[in-house]
Amino acid sequence: MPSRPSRAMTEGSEKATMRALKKMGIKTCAFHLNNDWELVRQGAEARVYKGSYEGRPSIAKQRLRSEVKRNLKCRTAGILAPEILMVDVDQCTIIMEEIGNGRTLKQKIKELEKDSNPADELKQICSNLGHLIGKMHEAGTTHGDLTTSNILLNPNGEMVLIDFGLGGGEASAEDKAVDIYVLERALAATHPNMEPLIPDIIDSYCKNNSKAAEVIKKLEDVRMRGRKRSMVG
Amino acid sequence: MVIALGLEGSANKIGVGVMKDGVVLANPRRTYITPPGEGFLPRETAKHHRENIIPLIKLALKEADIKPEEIDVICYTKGPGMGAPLVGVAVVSRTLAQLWNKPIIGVNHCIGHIEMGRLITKSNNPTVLYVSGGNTQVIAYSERRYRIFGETIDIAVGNCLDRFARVLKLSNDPSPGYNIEQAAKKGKRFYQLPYVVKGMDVSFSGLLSHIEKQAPKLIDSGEYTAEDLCYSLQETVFAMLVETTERAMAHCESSEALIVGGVGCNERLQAMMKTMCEERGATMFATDERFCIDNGAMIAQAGYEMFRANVTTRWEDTFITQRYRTDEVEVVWRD
Repeated sequence: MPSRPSRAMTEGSEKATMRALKKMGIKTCAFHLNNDWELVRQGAEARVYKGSYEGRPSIAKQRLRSEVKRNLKCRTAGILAPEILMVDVDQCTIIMEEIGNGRTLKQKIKELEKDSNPADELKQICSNLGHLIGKMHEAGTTHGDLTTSNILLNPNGEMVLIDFGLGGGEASAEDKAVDIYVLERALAATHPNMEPLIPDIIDSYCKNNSKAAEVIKKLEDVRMRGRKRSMVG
Repeated sequence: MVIALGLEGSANKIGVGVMKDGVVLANPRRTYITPPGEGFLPRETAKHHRENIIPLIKLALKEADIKPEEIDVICYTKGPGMGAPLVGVAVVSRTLAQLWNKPIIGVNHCIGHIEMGRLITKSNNPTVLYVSGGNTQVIAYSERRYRIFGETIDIAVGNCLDRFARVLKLSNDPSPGYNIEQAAKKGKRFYQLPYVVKGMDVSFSGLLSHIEKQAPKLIDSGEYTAEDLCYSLQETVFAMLVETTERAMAHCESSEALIVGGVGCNERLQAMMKTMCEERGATMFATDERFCIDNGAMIAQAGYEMFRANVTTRWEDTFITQRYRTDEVEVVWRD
C-alpha cells in the first residue's frame, strides 16, 4: 500500500501475543507458502490462500495486524472463530482451519431473500447475530469490520467470526457502538430487506451483554453523528 | 434521440451542459474564485451565478449548435448544496421550462457525479468514492439505490483541504485543492497526523483542527515546510479514503472502483487508489477535471437517464433542498 499511516502491527504488545500463542500450544515458526497454496480471495488488507497444513484443509492469511490477538480473545470467550494452527510472525502469515466451504452469511441471506417467506429464518439470524456480538463485546473486544462477509457459516450452520484485522484493544463503549453501527450500515447497504430487523439484533445483543445499556446509549449518539452531515456541495 | 440541458450551481461553480444520447455537446463552466484565505459564501456565490447563468446558457447552445426547440428536457440540480446558489439556478430552469414548454427534472447532485463518471469511464458496476468540497461518501449500488456504505461524520475531505489552503494563504485559483496538490509534490518530510476511521466512516474535523493549530509553529520553527504539511495532509486523508473504499469493495466483491467529485481529479488520490486496486486485481476509474469537478453535463446526463426511464419532476416538486441524500433517489434506470 502507499504510505498508509496504519494502526498496523504497532497495536498491543507482540510479546504478550506470542506468550498467549505458546500457552495455547500454537506453533510459531517460519513458513513458506509454496505453489500448492491457491490465492482465493483478496480481502480488505489481506491475501487469503487455501491449502493444506499438516494434512488439514487450511486457510493462510498474510498481513497479520491484530488478528491473532483478537481471534484468541474471542475463542477464549466461547465465540466461534477459526482455530489458529500456526503463526509466522516475520512473514506475517497465519495458518488457520478452513471453515465449511467458506460460505458467508452474506451469501446465505442473499439466498434467503429469494425465498417467498424468509421472515422466520431472517429473524433467527438476527437473534444469532445479536448473541454473537453481545458475547464478543462482553469479552471486551471489538471486531472493527462487522459485515456479513466477515461471518462464515460452519457445516452446522453456526456463525463463525473471521477477519479481526481491524479490532481495537481495550474496547470502549464508543468502539463497541461503532462496531454495531458498521454492521447496521453494512446490512442497510447490502441487504435492504434486513434493515427493518435491526431492532431484533439489538434486543438479542442486550440480552447477551451485561454492559449493553451504555453501548446502546453511545450507539444513539453514533447514529446521530451519521445523520448530521449537512450534505452541502 | 434525446437532448438534455443540464444546469448546475450547487456550490461555487456554475455550469451548463448539453448531452445528446451520451455525447457531450457542450459543457461550459465558470467558477466563483475568492481571494486567498477566504472561502465562498452563499450570498456572493449566488450573485456570481445569477450574473453568469444566462451568458453560459447562450454559450452552451451555441457550442452545441442546437436551438431551444431541439431540447427534450431541462435538468437542474435540486440538491444537496448551498441554498442561495441552488435557488437561482432552479428559478432559471423553471423559467426556461415554461418559456420553451419542456418537461423538467430535478436531479440529485451526487447521482449526477456518479452517472457522469460511469458514462465517461464506461465502468459497469463500480464501488464509488465520491469526494468533493461538500461530500465524502463510499457508495455501492444495490437493488435500485446508490447505497451509502461509509461517509464523513463531520466535514468533507475537500473542505478539509480547502480550509488548510486558507491557513497557508494558498491561491483559490483554479482551486485550493489543486494548489495543495502542487505543493504536496514538493513535500519530503512526513508529519504524523491523526488517522480517524470509525468503522466505515471517516472524520476530518479533528485532524484539521490539529494541523491548523500546529502548522504555524512547525513552519516558523523551520522543522517542516508548508509543502511537507500539504504532503502529509494528503497522504493521511487519502489513505483513510482508500482504506474505507477497499473494505466496501471487499464486502461487495467489487472489481471496479470509481472516483468522482472535485477531489477526484487529484492525481495522488488516483495513484493511491490504483495501487490498492492493482493489489486486489480490480480496476480503478477516474475522470479529469472537466467531468469530476461540478459541471452542467453531469446533471444533464443523470436527467437523461431519468427521462429515458419516464421520470420527470412534477411542477410542484421543482423546488430545491439543501439536504438530499444519495440513497433517497430510486434508481429506476438501472437493473
